[in-house]
Amino acid sequence: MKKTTCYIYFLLLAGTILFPMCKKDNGNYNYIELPAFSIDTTGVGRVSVEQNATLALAPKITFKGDHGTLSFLWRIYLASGRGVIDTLSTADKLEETIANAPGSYFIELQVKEPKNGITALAVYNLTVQEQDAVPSGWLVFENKDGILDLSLVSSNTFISGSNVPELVYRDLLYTRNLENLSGTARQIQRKNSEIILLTTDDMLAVSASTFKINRHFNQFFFNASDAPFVKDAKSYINNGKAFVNGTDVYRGSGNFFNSKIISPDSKGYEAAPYLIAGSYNDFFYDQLNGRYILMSEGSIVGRPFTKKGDLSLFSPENTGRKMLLGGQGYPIVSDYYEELVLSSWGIFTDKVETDRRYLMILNEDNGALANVDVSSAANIRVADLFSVGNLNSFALYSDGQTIRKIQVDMVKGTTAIFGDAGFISPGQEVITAMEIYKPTNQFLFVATWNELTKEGKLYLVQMNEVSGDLTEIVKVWTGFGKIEAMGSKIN
Amino acid sequence: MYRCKLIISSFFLSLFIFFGCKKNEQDPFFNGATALSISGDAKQGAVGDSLVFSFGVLNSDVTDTLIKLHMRAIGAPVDQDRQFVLSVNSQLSDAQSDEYEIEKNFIIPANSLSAIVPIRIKRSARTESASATLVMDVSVNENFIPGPKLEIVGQPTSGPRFTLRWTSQLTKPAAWDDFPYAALYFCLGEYSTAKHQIIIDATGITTYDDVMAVSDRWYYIYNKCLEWLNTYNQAHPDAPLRDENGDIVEFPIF
Repeated sequence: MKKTTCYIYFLLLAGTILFPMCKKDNGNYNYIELPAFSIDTTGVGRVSVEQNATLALAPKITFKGDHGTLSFLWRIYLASGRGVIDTLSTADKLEETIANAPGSYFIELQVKEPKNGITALAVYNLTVQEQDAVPSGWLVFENKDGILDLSLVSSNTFISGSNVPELVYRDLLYTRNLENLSGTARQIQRKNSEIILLTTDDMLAVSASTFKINRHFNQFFFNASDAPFVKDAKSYINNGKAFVNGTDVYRGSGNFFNSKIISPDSKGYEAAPYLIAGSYNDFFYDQLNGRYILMSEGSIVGRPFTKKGDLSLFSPENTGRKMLLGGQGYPIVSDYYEELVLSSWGIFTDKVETDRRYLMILNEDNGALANVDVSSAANIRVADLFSVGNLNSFALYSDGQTIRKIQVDMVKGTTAIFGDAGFISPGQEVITAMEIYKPTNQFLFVATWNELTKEGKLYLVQMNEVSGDLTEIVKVWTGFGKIEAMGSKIN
Repeated sequence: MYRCKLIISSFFLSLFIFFGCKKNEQDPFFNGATALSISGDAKQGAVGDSLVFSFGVLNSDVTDTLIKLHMRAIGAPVDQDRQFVLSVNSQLSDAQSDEYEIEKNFIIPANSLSAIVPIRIKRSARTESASATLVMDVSVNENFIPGPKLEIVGQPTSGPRFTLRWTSQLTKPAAWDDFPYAALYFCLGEYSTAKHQIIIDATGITTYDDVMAVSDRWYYIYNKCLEWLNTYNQAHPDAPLRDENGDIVEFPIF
């Protein structure tokens, strides 16, 4: 009886659900094909404009219909944080004066199609620069008869964007500050809104937009009286938390330096001039004891490199080697704080067998990654320039005449392929600086110096980002002094 | 009735007039005797009729300092030097004779109404754990009597007596581990006067209310204390620095 009742209830329920499905659909609607409608922003990239200058944008709109029916709305608002959303224009092409304060903004374009009520949306990244600002480009730190100055080359051959000028800005330090620098140029590093310039005699911070000098060496210290004498300053880490002065490493809060790093033990240290930046921990190589030393965030006490990784490759705490050349690149790993950090590459010599050369790679996440005997690589013993790719396991090195490459087998970590990369300096020119353009890893900047003509040149060379092969000279700029250091300036 | 009112009014009127003729004994200078009073220097921290000084917030290299007492004569200036007597109140003072230096002869120069008396106070082993008190009184002599106590809001009191108290002790700053920052505890660990003294010696910073964790100032204090301690311990390899409790001084290492 109970079973029968269950069946009856089940049939009633099923009937209740299934019966309405037979009802005729009397809905008052039909289907139409909407016209193709989109805004193409391909190739526009980041847009830059000086404050109070006119910004022109002509969007490429794909629409199968009457363009005259479209309505446009251009708006601008801060890229981060709270701010006002301003309407810029309702015209189809933007041509408006941008009065907003220097900073990063979004420009939003809404295009509405009235017939079907559909909207296409595009957002452009905009950088509003200070007036008289220098655009994005490649900076060269050149020496003209003992006087150092900066020049910048800008070209859409290596910078994406619709309004990249084809220009060379020369003598930026002197023209913007009426100040000269002496010594030898060592390094150009970008840090937030400043560019850090390191010479053998000084360290400067200049505004990345105006190139006005903000700080000299002593002002990098929280207490200026703690600043040491500049002793062949060699390397400023890219997160700004350390720099090498002679063989000492100085560290502080990230905004200021405070004190010299204390050795983790009684052995002391002599820092190699190549620092390796992480997000929380940074590290350097101790030439005296053949080991890597960690520097924690905000601390000046050096610590042993405890992440040993594959110790069959080498021990980071005792390599028995001296670093000759250094760089950072592949593989890029995510650290404890999920920030991307580069691996450390270095060409080393054995302290006993001094004619041997080794390439050693490590990072804080994995420890030792590779240890390759590169003694048979052509002219590696006289190499004085070194640059590492970010996207694959290769490095370029140069003896001043030829650029060669080392491609490391990262699976084994013990073998590599050596060969010419594809660039030989023309005529009497000597290669004085060489840097991979890291925003894309598809170009190599090569600086040369001709002692006879006293002219420096800058070559932009197309590079295969996977193999490191140099395929073509894309552009050449001339008329420089002796370029001793280079770096990118992307707004 | 009118006569009654007149009698009462006359009585009160004569009462007021009578007392109006009374000699004013409230004024101590009525007889024209010149007086002398002492006050401290507000810039040196004098408050009221005393000054409390701590060597603890100075670098430990500082072993003494000069305190200025301001002497002011009340009365008309005269055309010759006038000696005055400043004596140590032995009943109220406990400073040892080797803990301070003071001149013996005091003079208000001719045609002047003021003078400065320097007292050199010193750090001593005793002041590391206690305070020293020195009470100075103006004594009567042929030129001056002790002046009256004059209090003016916002200024050190001027009067016949001045108290000077000094110590080398440090007291734990509230900012060490109190809400909201606890900034110093975060980078230097548990408080000790030894650590407090290291901050002062290494940085010269003596106030910490505005020190926020992970600020540039905070990193500076942390880094310089690490550096100072490392330098000390390297110079004393067999005797690392110990605090007042006998514990080896250590700072957290990040």
